[in-house]
Amino acid sequence: MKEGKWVGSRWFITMLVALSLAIVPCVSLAETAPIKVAHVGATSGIFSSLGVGGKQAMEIWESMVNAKGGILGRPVKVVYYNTSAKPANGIEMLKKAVYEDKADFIISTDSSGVVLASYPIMKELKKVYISGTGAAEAMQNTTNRYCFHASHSSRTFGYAMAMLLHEKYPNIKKVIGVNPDYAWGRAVWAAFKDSFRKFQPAAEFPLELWPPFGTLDFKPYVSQIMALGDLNQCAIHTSLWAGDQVTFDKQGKAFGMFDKIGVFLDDSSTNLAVETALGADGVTGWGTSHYSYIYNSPSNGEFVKAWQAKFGKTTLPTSSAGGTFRACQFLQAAIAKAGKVDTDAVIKALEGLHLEDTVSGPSYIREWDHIVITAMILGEATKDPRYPYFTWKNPYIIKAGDVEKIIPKEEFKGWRGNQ
Amino acid sequence: MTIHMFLGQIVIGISLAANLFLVASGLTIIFGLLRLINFAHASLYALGAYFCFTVSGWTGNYWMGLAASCFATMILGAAIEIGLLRRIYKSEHILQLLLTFALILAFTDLTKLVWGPFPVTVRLPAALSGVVLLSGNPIPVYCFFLIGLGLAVGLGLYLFMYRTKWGAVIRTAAYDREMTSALGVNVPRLFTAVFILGAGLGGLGGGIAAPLTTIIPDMGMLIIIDSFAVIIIGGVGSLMGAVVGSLIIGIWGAIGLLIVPQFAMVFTFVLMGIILLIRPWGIFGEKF
Amino acid sequence: MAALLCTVAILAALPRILPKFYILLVGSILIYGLFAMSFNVLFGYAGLLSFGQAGFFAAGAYVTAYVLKQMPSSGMSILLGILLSLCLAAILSLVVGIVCVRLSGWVFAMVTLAFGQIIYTVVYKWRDVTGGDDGLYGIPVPKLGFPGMEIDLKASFHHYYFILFVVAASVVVLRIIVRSPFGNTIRAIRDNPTRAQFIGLNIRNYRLGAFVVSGVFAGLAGALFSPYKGIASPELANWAFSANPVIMSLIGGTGMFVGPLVGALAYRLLEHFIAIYTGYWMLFFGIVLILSVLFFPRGITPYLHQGIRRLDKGIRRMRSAT
Repeated sequence: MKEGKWVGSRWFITMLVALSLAIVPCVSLAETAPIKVAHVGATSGIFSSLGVGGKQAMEIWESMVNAKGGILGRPVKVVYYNTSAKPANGIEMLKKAVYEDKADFIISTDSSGVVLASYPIMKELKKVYISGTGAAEAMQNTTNRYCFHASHSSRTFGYAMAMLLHEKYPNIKKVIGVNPDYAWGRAVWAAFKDSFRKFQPAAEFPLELWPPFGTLDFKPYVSQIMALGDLNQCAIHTSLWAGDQVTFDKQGKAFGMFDKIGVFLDDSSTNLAVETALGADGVTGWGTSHYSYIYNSPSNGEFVKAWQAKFGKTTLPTSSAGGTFRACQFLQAAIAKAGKVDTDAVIKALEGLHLEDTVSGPSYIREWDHIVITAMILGEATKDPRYPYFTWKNPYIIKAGDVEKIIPKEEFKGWRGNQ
Repeated sequence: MTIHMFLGQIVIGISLAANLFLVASGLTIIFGLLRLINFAHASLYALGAYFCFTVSGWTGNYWMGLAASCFATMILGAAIEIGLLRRIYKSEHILQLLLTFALILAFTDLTKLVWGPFPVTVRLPAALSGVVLLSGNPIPVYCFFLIGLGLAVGLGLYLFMYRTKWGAVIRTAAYDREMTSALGVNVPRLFTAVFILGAGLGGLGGGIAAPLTTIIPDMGMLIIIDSFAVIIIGGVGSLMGAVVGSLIIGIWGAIGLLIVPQFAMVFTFVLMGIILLIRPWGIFGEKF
Repeated sequence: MAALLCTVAILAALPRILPKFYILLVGSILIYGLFAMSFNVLFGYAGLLSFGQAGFFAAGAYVTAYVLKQMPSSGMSILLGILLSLCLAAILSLVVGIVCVRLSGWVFAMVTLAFGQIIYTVVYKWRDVTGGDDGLYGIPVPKLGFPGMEIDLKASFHHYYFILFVVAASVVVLRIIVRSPFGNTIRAIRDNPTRAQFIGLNIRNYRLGAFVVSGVFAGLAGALFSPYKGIASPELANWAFSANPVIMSLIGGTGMFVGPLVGALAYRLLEHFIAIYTGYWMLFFGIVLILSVLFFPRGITPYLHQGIRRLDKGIRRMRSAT
């Protein structure tokens, strides 16, 4: 291999200038007519079922809004960015959206990790950022005026599942935990345990399993569960989600686990995605969600109808899709209320905004922590002749007012690190 | 944890090992003869699972799907070897590595394009569902099927490599390419044949894994590191090494999770590192 | 040398021509370019393929991020962060290097991969210090400098100039190292290790030296990366990230000193423009890589170099004819 030599500087300069000039024309000019909304989501990789659902919801929202004349007389244009659920990509996409493509607002459908990493950047970019999914408690933020969170916190998930277990299955006192060993799994299980102990003083947790994130094979864990004596008096609580839960469910079924246990609690918010993958081999049990298609509200009816018209009669909007759509509903209402597309005005409009008709019913944004308080919907997955997979029946709904009580201001302790 | 439970976990570990062996054996056979570290093996595994999904969906029969996972990947393997790999055998190793790496990238996206990004599943065939009680532990029948199939394939490969003429030819060519060619063997065609075999094993591994796992575009990436660990620990190019390596990693995968759940992952790399330092050719590999 | 100054001058002028996002892109190209060049010290010059350089990059990224988060208002924090990053990268590469330089070839590659994955696992699991899978985000970018002489790095132009300065200085240092007797010895060892041993050279020590140089500059690239991007996350240590400098060096050409820099430019530009048109950028990039391995195995820089030489000759001929 030869050593290179520096060439005549003249030509080197020419080459570099040529390259630089090649980049410049590709800069896009800002369009002033449409309102640009950037959708930053995890549309590839392990979190893709999350991000793609969000993207699909954005497509539906965009056509719905524009069919009704847009917002403030201006059409809406959504531009899509993929983060692959990597925080570093998330930050880069945000900068691209705002600096290069001149987005006015940002809606995200991504993992909590990406959302939290994005928060500090929004202070630099100075645009409104609403996340449609993600459940870290750190999303309750009191220091970052630009960021809003349109979904439930992990605490609400754990609490809701504990409440349901106590009400519907008062005889079950023992719960086995199978939760992924990272922030989400730990937070949901901790919230569940705390709440369940309050409802049920005799609560016991005979087995607490922590499969590492990215575990391919859950058979060793299922085998441990099967070795317990009185499974029919136990509930299994899991916050394993999407692909991981599909694997766990399939392997659990192969062991005959689901026939033996008292009740299965899917506290992952992704029950629809899981059941869709399992198809006819679905798993019965109760699930929590950021959003559910079974909720009865005018805008949800419209949303589900539009979804099925676009994506097929046997499809349904997932939890992340609904959460994203809800984020859009708030954004739209806030822009209309503010009367202009100015960030500060829209922030003011968002704080405290009450919407009677969202896809999860009457909801509002809390001024002090920028969280959307909305109904928590649980359902029981059962066979459904209309669909090639199990769908929800018997909705168990915790109203927005009661969700407020699960995460009250008095218990807000403040979070580590800056936002 | 009782002795009975321990026994149950070991059997599960062996079934994990069987699956791993199918994938690793393909990788090691290809390396043994072609001296090529085939990153694209990960994609062949994933595609095997996807082909199984599609064909078992069409025909309603898992076994047809499994056959497809094997044969379709063999065809794909042939295309890759003839179309691309042949041109770079004479190039530096790093270029070969890069080519197979580029193949994973391309195939992962292609998979997403064809089958979508969402997880899909394959139904467990009715004949193999249900559990068997082993000293009190329920073990899925499918685990025993995996173990059985692993044994059958292992035995088949051993017989082929060590008891047939073509096996001898392959082993000779792995030892000395030029001499074998001088003796009149069409070495390029041998390379293609061996690559096809390796690809088929990888695809079969994917098809076998399908009923008890979730099929996603990235599934190959997840198993490839384990497969590399297997052949490095066991010895590249060695069939026995693939068996032993798979057993170590598979059983550790089941037991380690109980003993040190937090750090089971690191142990694999530490073991890999130790072997590379004290005996780089692996337990059963040939000294180089 | 003249060419280097011209390049730096052009890069320094870019903030006036290009919009903000492209400056960010060029800044990241410089950082990746440094990373690729550090890799090439080991591969192009010492002949050792390492698949674990991401471990040192991540070490640099995390140390600087941590220091900045602990000392958000001090003017010295970014310099301290970089210094500590270099120390950690040096220690790590020394330890890993001592273990690895006894090997070569693909075994060397696999051991470095294993070590890289160990670093990745530690970073991923050690939530209290590294933030686990969330990483360290919200990195404050303070003023740089001593009281009385401060540069506010928050203004992205200033941060860009800082990066340009550090990368340019690193390129100069690397050039000196590579042209030095040490560099020549490394290349001699690469070309014929047996003969080198016969002459009495301790090839292990020289290789270790190259390994540490490579690791330290990888750590420096990482130290520049996390404040600039605003985050240090675990995938910076993963083997897939280690593939980046390999690919960049190969695309650019490992036989030439500036090859990796050109490769980093080509890679990032490709990534940027392909991603605009399609969500399936890995497919197109994979195809580009395959084509480049088949048809441009020595990278594009030799061709660029030849092309420039021919232009130069042609113009000189024209001038002397008139």
